Amino acid sequence: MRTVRESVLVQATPESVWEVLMDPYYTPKLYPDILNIMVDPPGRAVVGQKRTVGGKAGKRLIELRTVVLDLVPLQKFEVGGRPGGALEEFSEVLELSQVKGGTQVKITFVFKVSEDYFGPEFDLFTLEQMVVRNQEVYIKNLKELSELRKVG
Amino acid sequence: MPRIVDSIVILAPAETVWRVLADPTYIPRLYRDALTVEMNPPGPVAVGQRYKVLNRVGDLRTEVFVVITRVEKEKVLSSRGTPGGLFETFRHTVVLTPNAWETKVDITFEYTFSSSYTAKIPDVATAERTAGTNLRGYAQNLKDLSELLPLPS
Repeated sequence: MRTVRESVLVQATPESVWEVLMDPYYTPKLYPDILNIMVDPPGRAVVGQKRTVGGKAGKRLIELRTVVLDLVPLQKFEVGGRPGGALEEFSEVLELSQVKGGTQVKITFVFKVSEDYFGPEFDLFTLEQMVVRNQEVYIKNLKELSELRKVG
Repeated sequence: MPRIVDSIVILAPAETVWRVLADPTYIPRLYRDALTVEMNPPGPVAVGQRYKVLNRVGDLRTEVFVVITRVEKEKVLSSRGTPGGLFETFRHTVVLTPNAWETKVDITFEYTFSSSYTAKIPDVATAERTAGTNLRGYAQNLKDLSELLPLPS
């Protein structure tokens, strides 16, 4: 099991960060190797919302299955894994706090690549590095997207 | 009216290319600066289905509204813009021509900007450049997505 912790100051209000987090359709723009997302029920994040996420590992299509576990408006957002996808274990917890100059965001990712899903052809260390890279880029993208302004 | 015509050979059958085209959830991966897409109704592409696409232009979040006008499975997909967003007019057509295991894809975009919308954007040149870059990159992104392989079973 691997744990990645990141922290960033977003120069935007907690509402702006929350808006990006609550819209699941931003997911392909947050993780570089995520291609698309389907959510049930459709629409904004709610506790219990099931997410099926298409991604790539090199030239291969993969699938991840997650579920929204907890929402505390403008404070905490938690997503966990569901069985059957590329990650045997997955947890993503984001904590927001308003600070001078914006919003401090702390993220903790915990994951384990599924050996059963990929089979013996794949190098698990390479896959693990790929997941870590996605999670490192996630926080940079979350900052960029949250700092975009509306037209008008 | 600006017109972009592109043609690309994709090393995948038309069925696979269509799977990407017919799934609107891929839109943020087909256009570099598309951020999210809201579908009405949700689900696979169909004539009359409407999209609201949020896009990044510089440090702004802009909107484009589109309706699907023609769907011929594994052959043709067309859409046009609807009022209210960045484009005054927007027409997009993708034509697939299968050739054994490959698929030739012909893509056409025609568009003009909405003057009332761009009046609210401080840097119109960035909007023009961004639109051109995104529409020119569409064919390569469609190829990259269509050529991904499923995991061996």
